[in-house]
Amino acid sequence: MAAEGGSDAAASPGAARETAAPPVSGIDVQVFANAGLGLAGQERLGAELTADAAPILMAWQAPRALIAGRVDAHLPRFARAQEELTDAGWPVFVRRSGGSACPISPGTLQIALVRVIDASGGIDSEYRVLAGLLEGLLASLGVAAEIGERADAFCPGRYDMGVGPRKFAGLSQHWRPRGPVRIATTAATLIVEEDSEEMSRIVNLFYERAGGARRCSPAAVMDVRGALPPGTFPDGALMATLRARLLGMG
Amino acid sequence: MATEITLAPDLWDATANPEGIVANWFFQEGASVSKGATVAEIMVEKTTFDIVAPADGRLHIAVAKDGVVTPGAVIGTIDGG
Repeated sequence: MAAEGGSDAAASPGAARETAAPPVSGIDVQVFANAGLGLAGQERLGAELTADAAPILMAWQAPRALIAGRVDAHLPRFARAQEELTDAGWPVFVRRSGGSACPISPGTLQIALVRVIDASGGIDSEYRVLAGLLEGLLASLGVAAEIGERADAFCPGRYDMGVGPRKFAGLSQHWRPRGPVRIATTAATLIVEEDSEEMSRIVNLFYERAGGARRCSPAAVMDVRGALPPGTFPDGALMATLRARLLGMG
Repeated sequence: MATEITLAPDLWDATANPEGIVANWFFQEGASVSKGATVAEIMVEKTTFDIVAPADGRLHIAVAKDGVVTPGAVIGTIDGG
């Protein structure tokens, strides 16, 4: 497996800024009763998108959950960890896109961009499209997001987004063939207002209980609120603003 | 007749990400599969690719789960049913 570490030109903030946000035919922001329903909704978009369809952007929220990667589901004590975390108020769901475990909560916003890819498309260009969209969204708040792996954070990858050594968003993808084209779902979790200590604690607890070697540090995680001057948005207004601005991109 | 399950040479840019891994096989060795069924999943840089059966028949796995692959690799075959 290729190492996910290090920065490269493809993942630089400059490269992402060169990619204009794509025209999007439909933008939807939904709140689900649980994360499994959100993941299923995201999955359905990819399964149903026709080869000639315009891109679709979906944002969703759900109660607390840990979204594990499929590889995590093969850990030796996965089922036991799933039970224990569910009892602790963090039910575990498995996603189709790559990467490792990532917590979500009402303080995070999950964003998925589903696009038809022709032969010229690649995973880096797809990452740059969604990263560029998120950069624009955050820039509208005055936050200059930097792209690059935060190796000590949970679910690290070259398209982590954050400020300095801490990330507030991570991106992953799932590709499926559809006749002569491919359908790519690029998904992000944006940590808007959430406790990085608790998020990291639950990820470490999961891997410890499941028999996995991964560990993460809260020092590599932050939320978007932490990148803003204190008092910029009253309680709840930051998430509402981000949701409204996403809807305004349609 | 055996049909190879081949990763498309352009599935990802090997200059940016030289290798991927077989993250999952969704059928066991020798299982009967249908053309178009998702039989495996490749993971590269937090991206998963669904790999579908190119024919009906019996699956033979050439690269086990967690095996390292590159674009264009043959990861298995399907014996015609």
